[in-house]
Amino acid sequence: MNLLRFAAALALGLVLLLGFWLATYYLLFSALSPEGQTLLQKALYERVPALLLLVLLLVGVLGLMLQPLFLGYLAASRALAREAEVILEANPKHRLRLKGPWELRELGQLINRLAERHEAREEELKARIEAAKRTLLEERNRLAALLGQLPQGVILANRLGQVVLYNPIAKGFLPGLALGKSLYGLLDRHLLVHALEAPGLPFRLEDFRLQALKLEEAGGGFVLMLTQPEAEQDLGALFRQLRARTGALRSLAEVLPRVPPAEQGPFLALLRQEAERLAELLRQEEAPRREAQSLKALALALARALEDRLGFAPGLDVSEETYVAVDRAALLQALGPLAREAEGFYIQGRPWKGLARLELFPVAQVPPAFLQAVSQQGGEAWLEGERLVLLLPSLAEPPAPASRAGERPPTFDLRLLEPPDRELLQRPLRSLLYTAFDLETTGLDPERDSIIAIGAVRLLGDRLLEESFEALADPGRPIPIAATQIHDLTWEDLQGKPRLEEVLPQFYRFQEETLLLAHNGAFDLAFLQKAGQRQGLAFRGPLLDTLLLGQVLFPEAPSHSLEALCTRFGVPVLGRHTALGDTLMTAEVFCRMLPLLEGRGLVTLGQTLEAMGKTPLARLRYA
Amino acid sequence: MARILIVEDEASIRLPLEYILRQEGHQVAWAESGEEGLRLAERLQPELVLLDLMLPGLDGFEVLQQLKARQKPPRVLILSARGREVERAKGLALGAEAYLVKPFGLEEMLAEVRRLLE
Repeated sequence: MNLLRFAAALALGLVLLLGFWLATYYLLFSALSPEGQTLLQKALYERVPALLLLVLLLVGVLGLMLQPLFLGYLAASRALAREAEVILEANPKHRLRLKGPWELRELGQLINRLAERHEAREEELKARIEAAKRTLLEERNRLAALLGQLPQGVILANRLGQVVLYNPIAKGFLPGLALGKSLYGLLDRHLLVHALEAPGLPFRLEDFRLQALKLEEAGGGFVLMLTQPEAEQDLGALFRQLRARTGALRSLAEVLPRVPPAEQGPFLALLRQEAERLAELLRQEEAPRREAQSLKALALALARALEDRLGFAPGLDVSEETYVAVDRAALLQALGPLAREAEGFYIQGRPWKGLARLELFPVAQVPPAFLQAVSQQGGEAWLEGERLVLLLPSLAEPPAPASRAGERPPTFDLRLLEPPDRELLQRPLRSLLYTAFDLETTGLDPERDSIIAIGAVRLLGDRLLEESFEALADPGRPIPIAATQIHDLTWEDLQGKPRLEEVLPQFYRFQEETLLLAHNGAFDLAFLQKAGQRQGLAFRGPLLDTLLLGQVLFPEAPSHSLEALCTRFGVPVLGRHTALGDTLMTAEVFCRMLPLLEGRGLVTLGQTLEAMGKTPLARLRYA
Repeated sequence: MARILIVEDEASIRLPLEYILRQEGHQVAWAESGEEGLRLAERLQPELVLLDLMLPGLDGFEVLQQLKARQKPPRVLILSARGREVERAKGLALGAEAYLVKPFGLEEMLAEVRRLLE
């Protein structure tokens, strides 16, 4: 480009010069008599070689004069503009390298000073925004805590059925749940429509009950509530069991008198068995609903309940952790006026002989209701001097995450509430869901080499979501040293990992309904498509490639490697050449590219793909 | 004397029935699943089938339907812990001659058997 302009300027200079000469010649020529004209013509024709030499000399001089102007001033000022744009749009800490002619250096200095000042303002603004954000975050956390504590699973979806919010319990019921994913892929469409037509009426599904509620406001989405099927639902089953057991007992009892004593053996054995089954059935039903929890959590709850009554916080000491299953609410309710008037009150807890032991002191006497509640929970309590000892059966292992899931916040992104209806290509880059990913392979040939690691994260516009994917796959054969030198993975590391046939479908589901994003993605996509073909999984483009986007944004930059882009954008380079490490870097780079792309008028996916396709590398590789 | 087939997966119910029906002089065979019951019914051509509804594999109602779809269907007495009005109605609608809800007395059962074999 620069070269072309340089040549054009040279040609223009030449034309001007020649024009001047020709005009002079014409004026001179027309003023002369015919003899003079003949003389002049002759003199000129004789000196044609010398004149041509002169023209060449002039071109050379002109070139020498223009060269620093174009390749120095113009190219340098273009580079200056690009660099300045980086400061403005992507990395305020970036500073211009001062080189080229002194005028430009001075300009660069000025821009750097401006950037300095701009950065200071930005910092100040950022601090203010941070403060506002903190307030907002507190509100958000309160909402999240509320949702997290709900005993039901909650899913909020927009009117297209895309998931906007969900809490961990909902994820427990529907493991495939992810932000932006369509509910229609997770639940039967007819069922959803039915549930929406009968709001408030719970639908019994295999693993849970589903209740749907249409939202008239907020763009017309809907809320789903998922609950465990209630105990009453199983009452019918219980009755059937009871009938069957008593039926057997009755038949056996009635037949026994008719059986001679010598033949009664098998009947008596069945009778005993039936009696035991009945007893077991009743034991199950009698068991109160106890929640698995840590001893620490129980002690803390006791301390809080006592604090209200004592007016001060009891001392708490649970050094070693163990887990118990108790109905905490029933226990707290029965606690009553336990503490005596005292300066202090203490609660100690520890594992003891395979049980959980809590000691509360000083205690004068134990309310009978408390003893009863403890014994109902399968525990025992007694007074040792001033110490109330509480023994509870200890659980073999900590409660499963699902039962503690309530303490974790829900996942949401409210921007999904307003789904754009437009065609994919018309949609702004900011509104799209991406799966940034990277592969490690055993080599460079998709036909022969295979994928051994996949890392991926999901993004909504320029926001990284907390949904990631990481998997290693056993290639089933040794990995060439050349490949190991890049990613440090040897066959020994991968033996015992699942095969790609297992991993690939998982990744396929992870990236479904999103746009793929990768650095030098043509390579990775080729591998994915080849491997997918063998398993009947179609990995579809379009794919956004940060390598090509780098070319769109910085055509003059000498390198568009992931490291170079990271350095430019101030993205820390961590864990290079692990699939997830590279993926995270690609994602961060893309987030910072977004405003720059928008600054270039590349707002929609269609515009961006078009610009990407025009880069020289794309024409080389995607052709 | 009649050929009777008991289709019941629980020994504690099956054994007393089998014993008392043999005492009554009947020829008794039994099956522990719906599929096995259908095979035996084909081979033995029983006059009466005592059929439980909650069976492993093929559901009792389906066994009933297949039994009743044969050229010479046996009479069927359902013995089940499923005692709701709708379940009884369904059993009778599908062609069962009688329906006893567990727990029933052996005499009650024998009376039904006698009535059905008349």
